[in-house]
Amino acid sequence: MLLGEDAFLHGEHAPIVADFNPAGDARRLLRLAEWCGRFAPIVGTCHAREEWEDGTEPPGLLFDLHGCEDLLEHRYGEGDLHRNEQRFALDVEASLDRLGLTAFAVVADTVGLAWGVAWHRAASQPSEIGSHEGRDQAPPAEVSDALRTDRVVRPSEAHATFEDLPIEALRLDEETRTGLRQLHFEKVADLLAVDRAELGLRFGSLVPRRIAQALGEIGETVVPVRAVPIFEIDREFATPVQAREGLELAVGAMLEELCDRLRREEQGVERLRLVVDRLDLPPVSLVLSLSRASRRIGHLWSLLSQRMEEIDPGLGVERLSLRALRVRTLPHRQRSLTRSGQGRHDGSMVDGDHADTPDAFADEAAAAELADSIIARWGEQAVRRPGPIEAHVPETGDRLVPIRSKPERTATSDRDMSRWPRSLRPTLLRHRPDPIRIEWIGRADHGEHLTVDHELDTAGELVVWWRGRARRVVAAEGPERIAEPWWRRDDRMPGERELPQIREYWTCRFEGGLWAWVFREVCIEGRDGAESGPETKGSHDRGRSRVQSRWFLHGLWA
Amino acid sequence: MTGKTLRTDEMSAPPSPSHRTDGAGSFVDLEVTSNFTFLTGASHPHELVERAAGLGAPAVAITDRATLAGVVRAHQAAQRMGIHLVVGARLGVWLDLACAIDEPTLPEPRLHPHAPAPPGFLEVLVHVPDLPAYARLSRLITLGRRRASKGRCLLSLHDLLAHAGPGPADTSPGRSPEDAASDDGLMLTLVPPPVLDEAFLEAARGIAASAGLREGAADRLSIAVRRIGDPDESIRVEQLATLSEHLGVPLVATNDVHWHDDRRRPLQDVLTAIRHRTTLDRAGLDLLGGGDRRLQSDAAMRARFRTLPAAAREAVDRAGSIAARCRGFRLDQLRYEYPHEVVPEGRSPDEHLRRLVEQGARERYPPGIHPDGVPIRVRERIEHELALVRELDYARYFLTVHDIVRFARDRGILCQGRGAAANSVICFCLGVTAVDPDRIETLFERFVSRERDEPPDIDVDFEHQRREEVIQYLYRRYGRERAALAAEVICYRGRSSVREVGKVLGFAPETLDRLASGLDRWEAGGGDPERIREAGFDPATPALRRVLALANELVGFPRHLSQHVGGFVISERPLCEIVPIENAAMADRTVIEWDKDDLDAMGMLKVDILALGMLSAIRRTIELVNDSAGTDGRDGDSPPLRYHTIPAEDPAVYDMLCTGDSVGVFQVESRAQMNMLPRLRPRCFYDLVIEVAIVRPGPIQGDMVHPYLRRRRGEESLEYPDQEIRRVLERTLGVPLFQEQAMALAVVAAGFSPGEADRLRRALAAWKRPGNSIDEFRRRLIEGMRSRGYDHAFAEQVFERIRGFSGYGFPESHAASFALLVYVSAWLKRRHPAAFTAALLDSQPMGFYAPAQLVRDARDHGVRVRRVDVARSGWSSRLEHDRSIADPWMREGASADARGGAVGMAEIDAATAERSHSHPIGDAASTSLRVDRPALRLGMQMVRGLSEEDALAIVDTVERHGPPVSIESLWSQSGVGAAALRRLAAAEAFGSLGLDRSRSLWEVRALPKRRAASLWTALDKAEPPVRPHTSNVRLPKVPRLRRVALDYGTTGLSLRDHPMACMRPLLEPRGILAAAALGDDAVAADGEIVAVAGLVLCRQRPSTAKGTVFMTLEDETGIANLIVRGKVWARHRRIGRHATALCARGRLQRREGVVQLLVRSLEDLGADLARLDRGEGASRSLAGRSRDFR
Repeated sequence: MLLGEDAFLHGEHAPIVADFNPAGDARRLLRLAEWCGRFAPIVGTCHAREEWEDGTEPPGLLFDLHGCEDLLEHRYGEGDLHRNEQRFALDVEASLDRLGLTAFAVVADTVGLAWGVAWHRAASQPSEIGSHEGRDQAPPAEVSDALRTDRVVRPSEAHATFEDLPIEALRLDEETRTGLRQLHFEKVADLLAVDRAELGLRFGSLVPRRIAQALGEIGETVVPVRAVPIFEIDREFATPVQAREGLELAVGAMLEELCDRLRREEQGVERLRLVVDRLDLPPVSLVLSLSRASRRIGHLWSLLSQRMEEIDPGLGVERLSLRALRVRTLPHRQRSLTRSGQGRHDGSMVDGDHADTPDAFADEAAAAELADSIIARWGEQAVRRPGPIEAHVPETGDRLVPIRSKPERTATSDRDMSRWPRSLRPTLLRHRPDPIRIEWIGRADHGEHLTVDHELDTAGELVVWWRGRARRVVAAEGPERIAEPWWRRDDRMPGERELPQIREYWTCRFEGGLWAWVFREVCIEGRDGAESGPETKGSHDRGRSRVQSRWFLHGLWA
Repeated sequence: MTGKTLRTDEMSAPPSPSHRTDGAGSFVDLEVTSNFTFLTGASHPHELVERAAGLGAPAVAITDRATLAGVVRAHQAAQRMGIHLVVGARLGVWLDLACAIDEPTLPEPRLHPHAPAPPGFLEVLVHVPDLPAYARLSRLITLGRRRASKGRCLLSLHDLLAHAGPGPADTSPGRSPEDAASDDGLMLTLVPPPVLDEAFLEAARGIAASAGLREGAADRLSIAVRRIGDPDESIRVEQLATLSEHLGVPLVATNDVHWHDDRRRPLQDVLTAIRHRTTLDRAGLDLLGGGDRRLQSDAAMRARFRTLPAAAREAVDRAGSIAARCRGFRLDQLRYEYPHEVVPEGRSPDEHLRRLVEQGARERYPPGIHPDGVPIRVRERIEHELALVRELDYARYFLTVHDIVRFARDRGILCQGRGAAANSVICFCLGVTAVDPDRIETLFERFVSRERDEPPDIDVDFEHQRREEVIQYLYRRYGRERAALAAEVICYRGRSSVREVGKVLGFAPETLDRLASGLDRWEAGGGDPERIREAGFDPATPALRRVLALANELVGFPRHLSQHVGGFVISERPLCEIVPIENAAMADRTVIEWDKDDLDAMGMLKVDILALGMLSAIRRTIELVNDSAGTDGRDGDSPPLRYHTIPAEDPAVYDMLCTGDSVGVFQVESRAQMNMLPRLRPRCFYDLVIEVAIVRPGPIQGDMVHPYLRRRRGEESLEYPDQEIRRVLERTLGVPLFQEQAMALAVVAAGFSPGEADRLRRALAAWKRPGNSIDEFRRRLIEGMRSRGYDHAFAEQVFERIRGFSGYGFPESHAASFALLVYVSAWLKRRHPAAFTAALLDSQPMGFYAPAQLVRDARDHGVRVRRVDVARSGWSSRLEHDRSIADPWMREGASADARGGAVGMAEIDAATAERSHSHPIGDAASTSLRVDRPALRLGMQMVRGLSEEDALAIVDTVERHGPPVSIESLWSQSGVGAAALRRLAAAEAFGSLGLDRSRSLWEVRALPKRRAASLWTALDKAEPPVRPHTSNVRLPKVPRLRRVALDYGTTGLSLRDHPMACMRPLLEPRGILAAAALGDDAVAADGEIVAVAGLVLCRQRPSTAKGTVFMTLEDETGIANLIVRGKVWARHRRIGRHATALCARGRLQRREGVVQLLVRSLEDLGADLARLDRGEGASRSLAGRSRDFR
């Protein structure tokens, strides 16, 4: 009975909650089906193929075992078909379990029966009524041992098993199921008691069809999943190879073949994996990530060859396997017309080979290749680019991010900033502002600190101490006020003790012509003196608040 | 100026009065955004005004974006602080409306200094120098707001200029020549965009030229200039100085004020992020940045502008001089007039009112009953009231209300005044109120007071289903320009502010849900740490403390304007010249921008057109009773029942109420009232008045309930300090229960005048609001009482009692109006239970109980309730007399059971009869009444999801063709779709065809989904193809609980069984008692530990009960009342809050006929229900609508 919020309230460990993503699930299921090609020649999903896609019914995998009897016998070495099927089902479950997926496999004569038993037999057992919620979800984890061992529905017991299933086991759409439930049809047996034509008249033709399918009266075949093109090249050596040259030669040839296939499909590789099986050592796998999809042999080879140096062939390499893990469409590009004469004679198409196309695309591609080369050697963090961050505080206006990271989304990332005013900012901005000291010459009444807004511009006798030298300020303009993000500080409390810190920036010209951007950090504490603690040096009463200030130099104009 | 002098200036304490009055040249902030620019301004209007006064400014402006919603509050604060309020607004105008008229894509107007303005958009500050200018501004905002959807305003530059000054565009009616002479036009100030682009220059040039065209209007235009620390400000200032010189338009210094104190800066960032639906971390440049957007003193402004070019330096003075010119307008100059058309030609309002009152008095006191004419006492009071009304010139107000009531009467809409109006004999004579002031003690001054100079407040209840007719009548009669609903300012409250603030600070929604739901009620200061810890948070973490601190600040901030429940404002002159009118979210509704407090402050008339479900139910009951008497012919000779002819003081009614048997009765059906009834034992009308008034937070908190009950039982003697107090308190046995008594006490004991006493009441009602004068009243009351010789302790006691009301007590007149409805509804329930239940069912949702409980209660009282049936039911419930209608089911009952497991009528009737025997009033009364008692046939509106149209089509078919012979024939004759019939089948409405739920669903499903449109349809209708039920399939048998659950799921109730009856076999072995057994001494003694189980009907936590929760459980035998103390509740909160059905164990308490269970533990029965039901979601369909605190 724990669903949604209740689960949160009751559970010691909060469950992971993610948004329902049927399209993503379907995609993943397809990939899983593809992976399951190792168990049976024909694997289908019962999700992508159904007429209904309400997403409420759990998807599953279908294996067509017709004609596989010998195969099973060969694999498990026993004569009894049902025991082989049983082992097959357990085998599949175990393999999926290793992938972290809990599976429940059932072998039956028809698709409908197998599906129904796999999903709903547990629920129809009397002992399971208490945990009925599990029925709509995955098979309950606490399925009894008896059920665990029996994965095969024998033809002799097919009808009885089918009758005992709940109507949900018929793969019907939500509306039909509710309609049947409303009339209190609970088990398939209830439906079988009624004339099928009458049922069809009232609940649609799907109901009698499903019954017929499950009973084997109508054929139903498993449609294999459409194979996604796999860019994988295997090379098995008759005798283990130890020589590095030999390996390089082999990998080079494999790469050439792979790139050829990529070109035919207009694809480029983004992630590439080389698996090396060795005679005496565990297999090793090299994975390359690229900044940009590519199919240029030269580039890929340069990246791969670097990494291959790490491999110890041991007593010899038996097998090499090169696979494009992630591909992206990379269309052919037409070479510029004017330079076509200088290119290869075989056609006007170039494919990623940009050596003689000095356009923007090529520059970008070249930069990406350079980045790849560096990253291949020094790691992801080695190549960075400045990423803009929308912020008022100048030094946080950008930061360096790894070149392959996606741009951070902010409120402005999708708005047109071109019309926004650009504030005057120094040509050289210090990432960490330099603390400075200011001093008034001949004006004792000001003390050490500037107290009045807008006064600096007349303060001819102001001196700034920066890097151990006094510099006289001859002109100043300001202040521009910039608030620091108060919500990022964890130690202080707004409204309780302290306010956001404000920086007041002045543009100052030093004697000698240097323009500098200096600021004072002001923190205005609570109005009540009692709250603001002992009066520190450099703080003074402004009547409405206490001001503490420190001065910094933040930038210079060239 | 040196820093030192500045410091002393800024430190200035509240300035001297001379400073305020002569400060024409002193700087005034003219660009001030309060929090009535929703999610933008970070300070309340009164905070801004107070701060400005503190800075020594002679005035301050409030310029919210296209709204005047906050000006009344600001005005009140300004009056308090002794400074002037410059009324104004900040308007965004489009140079060409064509580029913005495509409203959905209208960009949000620029709200901060970084974002560029949309092209062709300009912001202008508008300040009001005089009364006509104010009317113009209000009209202009109305224009822009009525044109756009709720919350937006759409204006063009042309609109602005047309309304800006005197000229041909000003065509408002009723403008007198002297108005025009003093008319100065609006003061306009352009707000420059961050980048002074070509569009702005062009617009500025154009406005300068057009404003200059009119005589004497040239200096009404200025350009705003700021020095607040925004980026590139110095460049902009120089550019603006040049522009000013070039155009000859002066600059005015402003500060774009968004908060009154820098400590609100974080909150402003939070508001911005909420507005942009983002988090603070992602808000980036949407935040306002560091600009110093707070109010500034004159000295600080002069220092800021000192070094600038001359044009900019003068800008500070310019602000002062604009404010000085605006001294010509104060908000209290607005004069409000009542409408004229209610007075016929050639008669003065007072004459007309007198005439109507006298006519009414003759009807109220007919010569047949009052042979001497109108009683002297009443006559005297009429004269007294009329004199006061004439003196205060309220005649037209009374006539307006009379007009509304007359309209309702003509339409046959029941209505009745409530509240203070029942203090007035005039209102009684005019038919506005229904309680004879002779029957209760009334105080006209509570209603109208000479000193208050504030319009009286008349609230009238109308039938809730027909109130819209009255509202639309008002719009029709007075027009959209003169009548509108008052606004209601929806403010942030505890939970909503925690949610919003938390979201902005980046908390996950689930976390916030958990946190917010942990905060059942918002305590000032940010929630109870214990609760927060319980919800799984550490209240000490900075992040959480920050959320709570900010949320606490946000509480009370206005969020949006909604419409008041029914407060109508009507005026003689166009209302839109007094206050802007805007569209409400609801179609056909227009709303003014002020709420009821603002209207009170401005002395404006408001008539509350309220909706009351009970009035609908009463009218419907009377209709049903009269109809059934007519059709049956039994009582043909007795006069029809009328609201006003219901016999008074029927002892049987009081007998019923004394037992606490009050389900469905107005007001006294709540659990607290039901508990009070057997203790109070009302025996006359005035007892009901007390009953209504006593179960209120005011009397309960003032500890007035127990003394009253003790004295009523004669357990406590009564002593009054003197005769005068005795006179005030005698009728309530020395305990002040009504507001009037509190006021009268102040008058009698402390020497207050009636008007003062009323002010005291108001102060009490609003003591939580800022700037209240309660302490002042307290001092005066206690001093007054002591000077008259009462001792201090008594005086303190009186004050505390009066304060206990703090707005939660009822006025006696109001209690009397409600008591009348209590009596009428109780009488109907007692005498015509079937009709009354039918009417209640038709008026749903209303009251405390769901249809299931109402029907159950009716059956307990011997009413036979019959299921929905296509052949019998109308859309609403009906009464059936068995003599006139043959019921095939009655005959076929036995066989029907065998056929498909349907429950026959006989079974139901048997159950009913059995139940009615066990009921106290069922016995004697029902034997005599039973003979001609009609049965209640549920209407098709009970069927979930069935449209009225389809139901009426079926009723129509049955009327024309007789009862249907088959579903198919009904389908072909009525033209109702298969989907609707399926809903009816699911609700088992084909019983008269001999079909149970499964069978009829089976049949309905066989109907084609779509109807073939053929030429022969008409023919088909004439001769329905009669197809017998050929299909003899064997449908599965439906278990008992499942059937009950399906009944609940499709009609909200079950006539078969109570769900708990199905569970009884499970409960009995566990020793869980039935609810009815709790009252039985033989089963359990008082004080014994017992357990009871049932569906949860309601959960309540009155604020007066210190955390105790009252729950009501229902099982098949009756109702069990639970008391869950705070500690127990804390332990079982989750179950208590969420369970549909639960089992409670605790100590039994029996006192004065009230049985309660003091709960020690709660247990969820949801899982057991689910098990019984095999997971078919019974518990979900049973969950129903428990009436809960939220």
